[in-house]
Amino acid sequence: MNFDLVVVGGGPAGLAAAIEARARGLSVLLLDENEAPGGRVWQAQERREPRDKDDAFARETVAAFRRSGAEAHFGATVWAIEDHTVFWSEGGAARCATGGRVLLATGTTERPLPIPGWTLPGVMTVGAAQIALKTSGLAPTGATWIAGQGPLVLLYAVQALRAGGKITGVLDLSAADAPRRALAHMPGALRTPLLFGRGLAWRGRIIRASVPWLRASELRALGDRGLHEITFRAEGRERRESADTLLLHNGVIPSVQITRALGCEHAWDAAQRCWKPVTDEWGATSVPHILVAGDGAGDQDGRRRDCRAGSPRSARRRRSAKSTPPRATPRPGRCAPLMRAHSPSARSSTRSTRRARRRSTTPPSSAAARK
Amino acid sequence: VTAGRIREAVGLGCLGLNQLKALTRCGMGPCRGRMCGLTAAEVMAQARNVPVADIEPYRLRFPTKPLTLGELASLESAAA
Repeated sequence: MNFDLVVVGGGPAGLAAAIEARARGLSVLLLDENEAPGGRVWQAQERREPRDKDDAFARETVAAFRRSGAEAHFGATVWAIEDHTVFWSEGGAARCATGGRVLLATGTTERPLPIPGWTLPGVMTVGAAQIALKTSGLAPTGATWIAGQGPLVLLYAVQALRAGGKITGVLDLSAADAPRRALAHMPGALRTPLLFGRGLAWRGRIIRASVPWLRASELRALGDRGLHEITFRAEGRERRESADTLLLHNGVIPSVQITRALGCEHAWDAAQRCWKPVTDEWGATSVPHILVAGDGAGDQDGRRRDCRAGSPRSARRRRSAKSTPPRATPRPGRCAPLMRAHSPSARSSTRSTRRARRRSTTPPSSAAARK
Repeated sequence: VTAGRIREAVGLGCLGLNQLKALTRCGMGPCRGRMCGLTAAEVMAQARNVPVADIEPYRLRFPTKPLTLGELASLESAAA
Protein backbone atom coordinates (compact mmCIF):
# COMPACT_ATOMS: atom_id res chain seq x y z
CA MET A 1 0.00 0.00 0.00
CA ASN A 2 1.30 3.44 -0.95
CA PHE A 3 0.16 6.76 0.48
CA ASP A 4 1.29 10.35 0.14
CA LEU A 5 1.11 10.69 3.91
CA VAL A 6 1.04 8.16 6.74
CA VAL A 7 -0.11 9.64 10.06
CA VAL A 8 0.77 7.80 13.26
CA GLY A 9 -1.65 8.77 16.04
CA GLY A 10 -5.32 9.72 15.85
CA GLY A 11 -5.49 12.42 18.50
CA PRO A 12 -6.32 16.07 17.76
CA ALA A 13 -3.02 16.70 15.94
CA GLY A 14 -3.14 13.53 13.84
CA LEU A 15 -6.79 14.02 12.91
CA ALA A 16 -6.25 17.66 11.92
CA ALA A 17 -3.21 16.73 9.82
CA ALA A 18 -5.17 13.95 8.06
CA ILE A 19 -8.16 16.24 7.39
CA GLU A 20 -5.93 18.98 6.01
CA ALA A 21 -3.89 16.65 3.83
CA ARG A 22 -7.05 15.04 2.43
CA ALA A 23 -8.51 18.46 1.71
CA ARG A 24 -5.46 19.14 -0.40
CA GLY A 25 -5.91 15.93 -2.32
CA LEU A 26 -3.23 13.76 -0.71
CA SER A 27 -3.85 10.08 -0.06
CA VAL A 28 -3.69 9.51 3.70
CA LEU A 29 -3.36 6.49 5.96
CA LEU A 30 -3.91 7.07 9.68
CA LEU A 31 -2.91 4.47 12.27
CA ASP A 32 -3.86 4.51 15.94
CA GLU A 33 -3.67 2.05 18.82
CA ASN A 34 -7.05 2.99 20.23
CA GLU A 35 -10.37 1.65 19.05
CA ALA A 36 -11.66 5.01 17.85
CA PRO A 37 -10.37 8.43 16.80
CA GLY A 38 -9.61 11.10 19.39
CA GLY A 39 -6.47 9.87 21.11
CA ARG A 40 -6.21 10.57 24.82
CA VAL A 41 -7.40 14.16 24.77
CA TRP A 42 -10.58 13.31 22.92
CA GLN A 43 -10.86 9.73 24.13
CA ALA A 44 -14.17 8.01 23.37
CA GLN A 45 -15.49 11.33 22.10
CA GLU A 46 -17.95 9.64 19.76
CA ARG A 47 -19.47 7.65 22.62
CA ARG A 48 -19.87 10.54 25.08
CA GLU A 49 -22.45 13.28 25.13
CA PRO A 50 -20.86 16.63 24.30
CA ARG A 51 -20.92 18.77 27.45
CA ASP A 52 -19.47 22.06 26.31
CA LYS A 53 -17.93 23.98 23.43
CA ASP A 54 -14.71 21.95 23.64
CA ASP A 55 -16.58 18.67 23.31
CA ALA A 56 -18.58 20.06 20.42
CA PHE A 57 -15.39 21.09 18.65
CA ALA A 58 -13.86 17.67 19.30
CA ARG A 59 -16.89 15.92 17.93
CA GLU A 60 -16.93 18.16 14.87
CA THR A 61 -13.26 17.39 14.17
CA VAL A 62 -13.73 13.64 14.60
CA ALA A 63 -16.73 13.78 12.24
CA ALA A 64 -14.73 15.80 9.70
CA PHE A 65 -12.03 13.14 9.88
CA ARG A 66 -14.56 10.34 9.30
CA ARG A 67 -15.79 12.21 6.22
CA SER A 68 -12.34 13.10 4.95
CA GLY A 69 -11.71 9.93 2.99
CA ALA A 70 -8.52 9.11 4.84
CA GLU A 71 -7.93 5.39 5.26
CA ALA A 72 -8.00 4.76 9.00
CA HIS A 73 -6.89 1.72 10.95
CA PHE A 74 -7.70 1.63 14.65
CA GLY A 75 -6.41 -0.99 17.03
CA ALA A 76 -3.22 -0.64 15.00
CA THR A 77 0.08 -0.54 16.90
CA VAL A 78 3.01 0.89 14.96
CA TRP A 79 6.23 -0.86 15.96
CA ALA A 80 8.74 0.16 13.33
CA ILE A 81 9.47 2.68 10.60
CA GLU A 82 12.18 1.86 8.09
CA ASP A 83 12.85 4.63 5.63
CA HIS A 84 9.40 5.25 4.10
CA THR A 85 7.82 1.98 5.27
CA VAL A 86 5.66 1.92 8.38
CA PHE A 87 5.07 -1.44 10.11
CA TRP A 88 2.23 -2.11 12.48
CA SER A 89 0.27 -4.92 14.16
CA GLU A 90 -3.46 -5.17 13.82
CA GLY A 91 -5.76 -8.00 14.82
CA GLY A 92 -2.85 -10.36 15.47
CA ALA A 93 -1.14 -9.79 12.14
CA ALA A 94 1.64 -7.47 11.07
CA ARG A 95 1.15 -5.15 8.13
CA CYS A 96 3.08 -2.44 6.37
CA ALA A 97 2.55 0.53 4.08
CA THR A 98 4.71 3.25 2.62
CA GLY A 99 4.28 6.98 2.87
CA GLY A 100 5.88 9.81 0.92
CA ARG A 101 5.92 11.58 4.26
CA VAL A 102 5.34 10.07 7.69
CA LEU A 103 3.80 12.35 10.31
CA LEU A 104 4.17 11.33 13.95
CA ALA A 105 1.42 12.63 16.20
CA THR A 106 2.06 10.25 19.06
CA GLY A 107 1.52 12.80 21.81
CA THR A 108 2.96 12.57 25.25
CA THR A 109 3.38 10.23 28.19
CA GLU A 110 3.10 11.09 31.86
CA ARG A 111 6.37 11.81 33.57
CA PRO A 112 6.70 9.15 36.26
CA LEU A 113 6.54 10.35 39.88
CA PRO A 114 8.43 7.69 41.80
CA ILE A 115 7.66 8.13 45.49
CA PRO A 116 8.21 5.38 48.09
CA GLY A 117 5.40 2.89 47.62
CA TRP A 118 4.42 4.02 44.11
CA THR A 119 4.17 0.44 42.85
CA LEU A 120 1.51 -0.60 45.41
CA PRO A 121 -1.88 -1.60 44.01
CA GLY A 122 -4.15 1.40 44.57
CA VAL A 123 -1.51 3.87 43.41
CA MET A 124 -1.92 4.90 39.79
CA THR A 125 -1.42 7.94 37.60
CA VAL A 126 -3.96 10.70 37.11
CA GLY A 127 -3.80 10.00 33.37
CA ALA A 128 -4.79 6.38 33.90
CA ALA A 129 -7.67 7.45 36.13
CA GLN A 130 -8.77 9.89 33.46
CA ILE A 131 -8.81 7.13 30.84
CA ALA A 132 -11.00 5.04 33.16
CA LEU A 133 -13.27 8.04 33.58
CA LYS A 134 -13.51 8.86 29.89
CA THR A 135 -13.88 5.33 28.54
CA SER A 136 -15.91 3.65 31.28
CA GLY A 137 -17.32 6.50 33.34
CA LEU A 138 -15.42 5.28 36.42
CA ALA A 139 -15.17 8.01 39.05
CA PRO A 140 -13.20 7.52 42.27
CA THR A 141 -14.92 6.37 45.44
CA GLY A 142 -13.47 5.82 48.91
CA ALA A 143 -10.55 7.82 50.26
CA THR A 144 -8.99 9.24 47.10
CA TRP A 145 -5.95 11.52 47.09
CA ILE A 146 -4.44 13.29 44.12
CA ALA A 147 -0.79 14.28 44.39
CA GLY A 148 1.69 16.03 42.16
CA GLN A 149 1.53 19.04 39.92
CA GLY A 150 0.46 20.17 36.47
CA PRO A 151 -2.82 21.20 34.83
CA LEU A 152 -4.07 17.61 34.54
CA VAL A 153 -4.36 17.46 38.34
CA LEU A 154 -6.87 20.32 38.22
CA LEU A 155 -8.69 19.09 35.13
CA TYR A 156 -9.07 15.54 36.39
CA ALA A 157 -10.27 16.70 39.81
CA VAL A 158 -12.94 18.82 38.12
CA GLN A 159 -13.99 16.00 35.77
CA ALA A 160 -14.10 13.45 38.59
CA LEU A 161 -16.22 15.74 40.77
CA ARG A 162 -18.54 16.41 37.86
CA ALA A 163 -18.94 12.67 37.33
CA GLY A 164 -20.02 12.29 40.95
CA GLY A 165 -16.65 11.12 42.21
CA LYS A 166 -15.23 11.88 45.63
CA ILE A 167 -11.81 13.41 46.23
CA THR A 168 -10.45 13.44 49.77
CA GLY A 169 -7.69 15.92 49.10
CA VAL A 170 -5.20 17.31 46.61
CA LEU A 171 -1.52 17.42 47.56
CA ASP A 172 0.44 20.02 45.63
CA LEU A 173 3.98 18.65 45.47
CA SER A 174 5.55 21.53 43.58
CA ALA A 175 8.68 23.04 45.12
CA ALA A 176 8.31 25.53 47.96
CA ASP A 177 9.55 28.39 45.78
CA ALA A 178 7.28 27.46 42.84
CA PRO A 179 4.72 30.25 43.43
CA ARG A 180 7.49 32.84 43.53
CA ARG A 181 9.04 31.51 40.32
CA ALA A 182 5.63 31.30 38.69
CA LEU A 183 5.07 34.96 39.41
CA ALA A 184 7.73 35.86 36.86
CA HIS A 185 5.59 34.19 34.19
CA MET A 186 2.44 36.07 35.15
CA PRO A 187 2.65 38.59 32.28
CA GLY A 188 2.82 35.68 29.81
CA ALA A 189 -0.12 33.97 31.48
CA LEU A 190 -2.19 37.13 31.23
CA ARG A 191 -1.55 37.21 27.50
CA THR A 192 -3.54 33.98 27.21
CA PRO A 193 -6.62 35.01 29.18
CA LEU A 194 -8.70 32.07 27.95
CA LEU A 195 -6.25 29.51 29.29
CA PHE A 196 -5.57 31.46 32.45
CA GLY A 197 -9.26 31.93 33.12
CA ARG A 198 -9.87 28.25 32.58
CA GLY A 199 -7.24 27.36 35.18
CA LEU A 200 -8.84 29.75 37.67
CA ALA A 201 -12.29 28.30 36.97
CA TRP A 202 -11.02 24.76 37.61
CA ARG A 203 -9.41 25.86 40.84
CA GLY A 204 -12.59 27.65 41.86
CA ARG A 205 -14.66 24.57 41.24
CA ILE A 206 -12.38 22.49 43.44
CA ILE A 207 -12.55 25.09 46.21
CA ARG A 208 -16.35 25.23 45.96
CA ALA A 209 -16.50 21.45 46.28
CA SER A 210 -14.62 21.90 49.60
CA VAL A 211 -11.81 19.60 48.52
CA PRO A 212 -8.78 20.34 50.74
CA TRP A 213 -5.76 21.60 48.80
CA LEU A 214 -2.44 21.28 50.62
CA ARG A 215 1.11 22.12 49.70
CA ALA A 216 2.92 18.96 50.70
CA SER A 217 6.26 17.15 50.48
CA GLU A 218 7.83 13.83 51.49
CA LEU A 219 4.83 11.85 50.25
CA ARG A 220 4.89 8.10 50.90
CA ALA A 221 2.40 5.39 50.02
CA LEU A 222 2.10 2.69 52.64
CA GLY A 223 0.37 -0.65 52.63
CA ASP A 224 0.86 -4.36 52.73
CA ARG A 225 -0.76 -5.93 49.69
CA GLY A 226 -2.30 -2.70 48.53
CA LEU A 227 -2.44 0.97 49.40
CA HIS A 228 -3.65 1.51 52.94
CA GLU A 229 -2.48 4.96 53.95
CA ILE A 230 -0.25 7.84 52.91
CA THR A 231 2.11 10.03 54.91
CA PHE A 232 3.28 13.49 53.96
CA ARG A 233 4.55 16.72 55.42
CA ALA A 234 2.24 19.72 55.13
CA GLU A 235 1.97 22.99 57.03
CA GLY A 236 5.09 22.08 58.94
CA ARG A 237 3.96 18.76 60.37
CA GLU A 238 3.87 15.05 59.50
CA ARG A 239 0.46 13.79 58.56
CA ARG A 240 -0.86 10.28 58.18
CA GLU A 241 -4.12 9.72 56.31
CA SER A 242 -5.95 6.60 55.26
CA ALA A 243 -6.13 6.15 51.49
CA ASP A 244 -7.79 3.72 49.10
CA THR A 245 -6.55 5.38 45.94
CA LEU A 246 -3.58 7.64 45.32
CA LEU A 247 -3.37 9.30 41.91
CA LEU A 248 0.04 10.69 40.96
CA HIS A 249 0.88 13.18 38.25
CA ASN A 250 3.97 15.14 37.38
CA GLY A 251 3.25 16.67 34.00
CA VAL A 252 3.63 15.13 30.57
CA ILE A 253 6.63 14.65 28.28
CA PRO A 254 6.76 14.10 24.50
CA SER A 255 6.87 10.46 23.38
CA VAL A 256 10.18 10.28 21.57
CA GLN A 257 10.63 6.52 21.11
CA ILE A 258 9.98 6.50 17.37
CA THR A 259 11.98 9.64 16.59
CA ARG A 260 14.82 8.32 18.75
CA ALA A 261 14.78 4.94 17.05
CA LEU A 262 14.81 6.72 13.67
CA GLY A 263 17.89 8.66 14.72
CA CYS A 264 16.22 12.08 14.52
CA GLU A 265 18.02 14.89 16.26
CA HIS A 266 16.71 15.79 19.75
CA ALA A 267 17.28 18.73 22.06
CA TRP A 268 16.92 19.02 25.81
CA ASP A 269 14.16 21.42 26.86
CA ALA A 270 15.41 22.92 30.11
CA ALA A 271 12.06 24.54 30.98
CA GLN A 272 10.03 21.34 30.56
CA ARG A 273 12.91 19.07 31.64
CA CYS A 274 12.50 16.67 28.76
CA TRP A 275 13.90 15.71 25.35
CA LYS A 276 12.09 16.91 22.24
CA PRO A 277 12.68 16.15 18.58
CA VAL A 278 14.26 19.11 16.76
CA THR A 279 11.84 20.32 14.09
CA ASP A 280 11.69 23.19 11.66
CA GLU A 281 8.62 25.38 11.42
CA TRP A 282 6.98 22.85 9.11
CA GLY A 283 7.29 20.16 11.72
CA ALA A 284 10.01 18.32 9.75
CA THR A 285 12.63 16.52 11.82
CA SER A 286 16.28 16.11 10.89
CA VAL A 287 15.14 13.07 8.86
CA PRO A 288 13.48 14.99 6.02
CA HIS A 289 10.44 12.77 5.32
CA ILE A 290 9.61 12.36 9.03
CA LEU A 291 7.42 15.06 10.58
CA VAL A 292 6.17 15.58 14.12
CA ALA A 293 3.00 17.42 15.14
CA GLY A 294 1.05 18.15 18.28
CA ASP A 295 2.08 17.58 21.86
CA GLY A 296 4.78 15.16 20.77
CA ALA A 297 6.54 18.11 19.14
CA GLY A 298 6.63 19.58 22.63
CA ASP A 299 4.64 22.65 21.71
CA GLN A 300 2.16 22.53 24.48
CA ASP A 301 1.55 26.23 24.37
CA GLY A 302 -0.01 25.68 20.97
CA ARG A 303 0.98 29.14 19.82
CA ARG A 304 3.94 28.50 17.61
CA ARG A 305 2.62 25.65 15.55
CA ASP A 306 -0.73 24.29 14.64
CA CYS A 307 -1.75 20.74 13.94
CA ARG A 308 -1.24 21.20 10.27
CA ALA A 309 2.47 21.40 10.78
CA GLY A 310 3.12 18.60 8.37
CA SER A 311 0.45 19.13 5.83
CA PRO A 312 1.23 22.49 4.21
CA ARG A 313 4.67 21.20 3.38
CA SER A 314 3.33 18.05 1.77
CA ALA A 315 0.70 20.13 0.06
CA ARG A 316 3.39 22.27 -1.45
CA ARG A 317 4.59 19.31 -3.47
CA ARG A 318 1.20 19.02 -5.01
CA ARG A 319 0.95 22.72 -5.74
CA SER A 320 4.21 22.65 -7.59
CA ALA A 321 2.60 20.26 -10.05
CA LYS A 322 -0.77 21.95 -10.20
CA SER A 323 -1.55 25.33 -8.77
CA THR A 324 -4.18 25.10 -6.05
CA PRO A 325 -5.43 28.26 -4.41
CA PRO A 326 -5.01 28.29 -0.63
CA ARG A 327 -8.17 27.43 1.24
CA ALA A 328 -10.27 30.36 2.33
CA THR A 329 -12.37 28.76 5.05
CA PRO A 330 -10.98 28.32 8.54
CA ARG A 331 -10.33 24.75 9.60
CA PRO A 332 -10.63 23.26 13.03
CA GLY A 333 -6.99 22.56 12.99
CA ARG A 334 -5.15 24.30 15.77
CA CYS A 335 -2.96 22.17 17.92
CA ALA A 336 -4.88 20.92 20.91
CA PRO A 337 -2.49 19.95 23.67
CA LEU A 338 -3.62 17.95 26.63
CA MET A 339 -4.97 20.83 28.64
CA ARG A 340 -5.51 23.52 26.09
CA ALA A 341 -8.75 25.29 25.39
CA HIS A 342 -9.97 24.14 22.00
CA SER A 343 -12.52 26.88 21.59
CA PRO A 344 -12.21 27.96 17.98
CA SER A 345 -12.84 31.62 18.64
CA ALA A 346 -13.40 33.73 15.57
CA ARG A 347 -10.21 35.63 16.20
CA SER A 348 -7.90 32.65 16.42
CA SER A 349 -9.47 31.01 13.37
CA THR A 350 -8.86 34.10 11.32
CA ARG A 351 -5.32 34.28 12.50
CA SER A 352 -4.54 30.67 11.74
CA THR A 353 -6.14 30.94 8.33
CA ARG A 354 -4.06 33.96 7.56
CA ARG A 355 -0.98 32.15 8.70
CA ALA A 356 -1.83 29.11 6.61
CA ARG A 357 -2.18 31.37 3.61
CA ARG A 358 1.12 33.01 4.27
CA ARG A 359 2.74 29.63 4.62
CA SER A 360 1.37 28.35 1.38
CA THR A 361 2.73 31.28 -0.58
CA THR A 362 6.13 31.71 1.01
CA PRO A 363 7.86 28.50 2.01
CA PRO A 364 10.69 29.19 4.45
CA SER A 365 14.14 29.03 3.01
CA SER A 366 15.21 26.27 5.41
CA ALA A 367 12.59 23.91 4.06
CA ALA A 368 13.38 24.90 0.52
CA ALA A 369 17.07 24.34 1.06
CA ARG A 370 16.50 20.85 2.34
CA LYS A 371 14.70 19.76 -0.79
CA VAL B 1 16.03 -1.83 39.47
CA THR B 2 15.95 0.47 42.49
CA ALA B 3 17.20 4.05 42.67
CA GLY B 4 19.82 2.77 45.09
CA ARG B 5 21.09 0.31 42.49
CA ILE B 6 21.42 3.17 39.97
CA ARG B 7 23.40 5.27 42.47
CA GLU B 8 25.58 2.26 43.18
CA ALA B 9 26.30 1.93 39.43
CA VAL B 10 27.22 5.62 39.30
CA GLY B 11 29.60 4.96 42.20
CA LEU B 12 31.23 2.27 40.04
CA GLY B 13 31.87 4.87 37.33
CA CYS B 14 28.76 4.46 35.19
CA LEU B 15 28.19 7.68 33.19
CA GLY B 16 25.15 7.24 30.96
CA LEU B 17 21.97 5.24 30.51
CA ASN B 18 23.45 2.79 28.00
CA GLN B 19 26.21 1.85 30.40
CA LEU B 20 23.60 1.60 33.11
CA LYS B 21 21.61 -0.81 30.96
CA ALA B 22 24.65 -3.05 30.51
CA LEU B 23 25.38 -2.99 34.22
CA THR B 24 21.93 -3.28 35.78
CA ARG B 25 19.51 -4.19 32.93
CA CYS B 26 17.66 -0.97 33.78
CA GLY B 27 15.67 -0.15 30.63
CA MET B 28 15.27 -3.81 29.62
CA GLY B 29 12.01 -4.45 31.46
CA PRO B 30 8.52 -4.40 30.00
CA CYS B 31 8.61 -0.67 29.23
CA ARG B 32 11.94 -0.92 27.35
CA GLY B 33 12.93 2.44 28.77
CA ARG B 34 9.81 4.20 27.52
CA MET B 35 8.69 5.11 31.02
CA CYS B 36 11.79 4.73 33.18
CA GLY B 37 14.26 6.51 30.89
CA LEU B 38 13.86 10.04 32.11
CA THR B 39 13.54 9.03 35.76
CA ALA B 40 16.72 6.93 35.56
CA ALA B 41 18.47 9.89 33.91
CA GLU B 42 17.32 12.23 36.70
CA VAL B 43 18.61 9.84 39.37
CA MET B 44 21.96 9.52 37.57
CA ALA B 45 22.26 13.28 37.07
CA GLN B 46 21.61 13.86 40.76
CA ALA B 47 24.13 11.20 41.79
CA ARG B 48 26.78 12.56 39.40
CA ASN B 49 25.88 16.17 40.16
CA VAL B 50 25.58 17.12 36.49
CA PRO B 51 22.63 18.49 34.43
CA VAL B 52 20.20 15.83 33.16
CA ALA B 53 20.93 16.93 29.59
CA ASP B 54 24.47 15.60 30.06
CA ILE B 55 23.26 12.07 30.72
CA GLU B 56 23.36 10.06 27.51
CA PRO B 57 19.80 8.82 26.83
CA TYR B 58 18.92 5.22 25.93
CA ARG B 59 19.63 4.20 22.38
CA LEU B 60 16.14 3.12 21.41
CA ARG B 61 15.63 0.63 18.62
CA PHE B 62 12.71 -0.78 16.71
CA PRO B 63 10.44 -2.51 17.46
CA THR B 64 9.29 0.31 19.73
CA LYS B 65 6.24 -1.70 20.80
CA PRO B 66 6.16 -5.43 21.57
CA LEU B 67 4.96 -7.79 18.87
CA THR B 68 4.78 -11.57 18.65
CA LEU B 69 6.85 -13.74 16.34
CA GLY B 70 3.56 -14.91 14.86
CA GLU B 71 2.70 -11.35 13.87
CA LEU B 72 6.14 -10.87 12.41
CA ALA B 73 5.83 -14.10 10.41
CA SER B 74 2.46 -13.00 9.01
CA LEU B 75 4.20 -10.02 7.46
CA GLU B 76 6.52 -12.31 5.49
CA SER B 77 3.70 -14.45 4.14
CA ALA B 78 1.69 -11.37 3.15
CA ALA B 79 4.65 -10.02 1.23
CA ALA B 80 5.27 -13.33 -0.57
